[in-house]
Amino acid sequence: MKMYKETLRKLIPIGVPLALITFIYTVITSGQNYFGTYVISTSQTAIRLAPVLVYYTLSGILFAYYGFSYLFRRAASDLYHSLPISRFDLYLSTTLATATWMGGTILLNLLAVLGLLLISGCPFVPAYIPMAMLFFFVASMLVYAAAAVGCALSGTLLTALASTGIVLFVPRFIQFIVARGVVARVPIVGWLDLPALLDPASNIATGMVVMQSRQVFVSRIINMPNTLYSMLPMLVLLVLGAWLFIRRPSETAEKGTGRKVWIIATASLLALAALLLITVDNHRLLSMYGVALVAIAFLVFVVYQFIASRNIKQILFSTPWFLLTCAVAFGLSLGIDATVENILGKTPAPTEIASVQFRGHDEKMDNLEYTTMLLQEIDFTSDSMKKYVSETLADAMDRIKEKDFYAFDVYSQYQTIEPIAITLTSGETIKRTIEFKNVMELNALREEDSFFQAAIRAFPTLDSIQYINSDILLTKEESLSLLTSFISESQKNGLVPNSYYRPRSQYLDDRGYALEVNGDQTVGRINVAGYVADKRIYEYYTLRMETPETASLMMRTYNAYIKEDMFDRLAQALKHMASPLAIERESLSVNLDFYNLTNQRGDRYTQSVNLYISGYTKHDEAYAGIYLTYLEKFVEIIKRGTPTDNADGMFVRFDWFEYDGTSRRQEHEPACYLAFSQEDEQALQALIIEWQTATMI
Amino acid sequence: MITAKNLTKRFSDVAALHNLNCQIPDGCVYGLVGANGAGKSTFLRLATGVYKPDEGDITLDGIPVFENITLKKRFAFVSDEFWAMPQSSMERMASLYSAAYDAFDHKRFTSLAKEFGLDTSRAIATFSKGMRRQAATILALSTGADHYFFDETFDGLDPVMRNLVKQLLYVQVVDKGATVIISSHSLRELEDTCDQLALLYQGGIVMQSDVSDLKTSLFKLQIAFGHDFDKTVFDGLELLSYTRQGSVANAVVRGDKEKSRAMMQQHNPILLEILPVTLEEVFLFEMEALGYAFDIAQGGN
Repeated sequence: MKMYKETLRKLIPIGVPLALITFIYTVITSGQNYFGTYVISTSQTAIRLAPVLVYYTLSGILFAYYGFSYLFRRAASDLYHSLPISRFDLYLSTTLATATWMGGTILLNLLAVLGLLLISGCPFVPAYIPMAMLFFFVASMLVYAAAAVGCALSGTLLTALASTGIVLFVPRFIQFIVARGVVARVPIVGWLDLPALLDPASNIATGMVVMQSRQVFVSRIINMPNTLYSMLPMLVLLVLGAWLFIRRPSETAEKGTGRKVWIIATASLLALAALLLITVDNHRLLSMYGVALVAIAFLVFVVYQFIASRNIKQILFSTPWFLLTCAVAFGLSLGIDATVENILGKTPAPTEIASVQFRGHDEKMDNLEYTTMLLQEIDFTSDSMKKYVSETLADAMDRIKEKDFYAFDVYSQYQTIEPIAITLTSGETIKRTIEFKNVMELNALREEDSFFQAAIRAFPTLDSIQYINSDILLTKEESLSLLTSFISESQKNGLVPNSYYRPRSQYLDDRGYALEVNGDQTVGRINVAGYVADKRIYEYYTLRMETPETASLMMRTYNAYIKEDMFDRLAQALKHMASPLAIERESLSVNLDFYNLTNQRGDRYTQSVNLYISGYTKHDEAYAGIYLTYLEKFVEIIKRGTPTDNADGMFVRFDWFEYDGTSRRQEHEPACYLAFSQEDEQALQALIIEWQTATMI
Repeated sequence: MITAKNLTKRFSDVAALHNLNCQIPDGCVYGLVGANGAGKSTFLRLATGVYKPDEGDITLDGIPVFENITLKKRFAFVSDEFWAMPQSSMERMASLYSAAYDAFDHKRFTSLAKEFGLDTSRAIATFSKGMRRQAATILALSTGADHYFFDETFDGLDPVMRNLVKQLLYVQVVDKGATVIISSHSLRELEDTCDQLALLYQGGIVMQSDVSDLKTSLFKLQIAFGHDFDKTVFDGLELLSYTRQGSVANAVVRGDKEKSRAMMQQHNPILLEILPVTLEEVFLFEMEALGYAFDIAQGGN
């Protein structure tokens, strides 16, 4: 206990500055997030509660090196080992003191976040706090444990650093390379389809490094299985560190890695890592590339040993170890081949499939759609689905085996890639990410399932929605009112709110435009996010004319913001842009969306007209002439419009934007919805055609 | 009693100590002398449980020392290079020592620091080499140990401080029955301090004896005759060395002074003087007698 307190005090130069820096960083960044305007953009997954803690985990190295710094100086090592404290107690006191500092700092940061969340009123999942606490603590201690092993093995800071890197990263690098080999060679197996042992994120300390380059892991890294799994290597390394520390001769100080076996083992691991690069681009060890890689690996093997021991005789005698390493690499390469063959060989017949689970088209995203969350709970067991999945999987396998794996039809907009989990009748579950020819066909099959029908029409409860916005102009209450109306109208009409699962079919209309069958004109969006239990969910709801009451409400809501002098200011802006006084960096953009126009087939559609003029585009006289002319013509009619909330008749959504690049002044006029007399409607439709013809030229 | 039996310690392929045997009785001041690389520091580190023997063992009262915390509480080791934590003061180091030694005496620490004139709150990094050694000695003497190990500690101290340290050690030995083991490459440094001396040479103790015995057992005999003579006149004496210049002969003899004088008187010398030898000369002659080359000026080199 005395030595623990003493070591706790000794670690103050590391502990206090890091605690202060992380605390200040967390308070500032979290404060910005929780009190800022764009709160919705903050993804509140547990790992993002205090992002600086991701980097704080590396402090395990600093604590270990500072705590065990006496191992790198002979005089210091002799002093500590002459004291009446057992080596185990020395190790234990440093480990416990480090755990106290790191645990305390992590707790301090998370408490700061918790305080800010409570003060700001930002919603959050309380469970994230203890989850993040445990996660970051295990990650930090895992890094510390690796560094402690490095220190116990080495007599200098440099070799300790190298040993730490090797202990922490080389096994994971080898695992990563094997996983990469499988993913590269089987296009239908993605990172999220890999079994847990090959999952690069399962070891949370190194997983946080992997997630820097593979975003797919960010939202998945904090979970209890990963945290509990990582406790195992953490404990193993802590015990290994203690074992090595107890056996570490004091005379190792200032002498690098004195142990011959460790030098050879390290050289072999480094060579193995180099040899396994063979799998990256699907090469074979028995090839020219493979031979070159063996040469490089041998160079690594020799150079490392030379640096560590400078003993040529030892290097020569260690050659059999390199051959053994090559054999291991070859074995692993064969292992990857076998794994690949095993995956490719698994094309279950429909009768062998017990159920199919769809993991969601957005599984790789930071947050899941609410619909996906529900979808993941459904086991599809219909024969038609089993047959469809079995055939699609077999087809994908065939194309892989033919080494001709490409999209079914690069021009088709209906093909889709979805991750699935197939549970076989044998009880085995296989995960694949496969391409389906037609999402409509897939959805039709899925709609045979009543749970799926309910899932794609379901909305999260309002109390689980923490963030909502539809437009920066609208208040939260206005957005919520729109959402309530949208939910009510959708549920009343049995509509599918999530665009991905809506029936889609397009045709070319008389003007040559691709239109949806039973066209759904879009009038706006509502973005919602929140938490269902400890899961973060979001949905982007598109408001369409198929919910006319909501569309009407939205029109009313926007029109409440109309300013009386809107057209006068627009006229002035127009006049200015037409005059020679307009400089290059000034611009005016007028956006007009004409709703409920009717094509020859009788379908309603929306026609957008964007009229943009700037000082720069005025250099093109023909262009400027057309745009200025039509700006004036359109505005002349538009200004006769009256605010409307009738979503059934023809109306125009109108807004404009003025920008001065020199002063960076910008004026964005809020959108408004206007209706017109029958004469003006006809005039506008004629003008649209006239404008389209003019701009076509 | 500290006992080393067939003690061997190797560094890579080099044996720093090889089959070393010795016994250090309790309550004495034991000096280890030897050249650089003779194995003094290695021996002290083995004796204090810093190093683990490769072969043989070193025990205190028959119990192995290595990783024996109960025994190590009775040891205080002052290394040849005192290390202090970065930016630490003596007080900070005292805190480390008191965490390790239950019997660490803060009062004694404070009074010793005062006696040495050291500021315990000052960063040790700003201390001179001598002051660092004093600091290390003060810390060691405050531990409450009864076995003190000093590795070339006196070498960096000025005469005043050296005497102060020696006095403090004598107090420990006389009043508290402590055992002090001091290593040095300079025999002169240990001559007037130690009760027992051991000479280390190439990883082994080649000679070990009470200082008083060493000094009294050898003497120099200077003799001249009025007639021609040869070495046979010394028959009956144990000669360690014999030289002759003209009619004067010099011999180093082991044995009883008075008996030797009486024997020589029988030959009617015109000159007969018995001179004492220095400890260094004792070592030189004993070593030569054992067949080792020993350079006094270099402490054995």
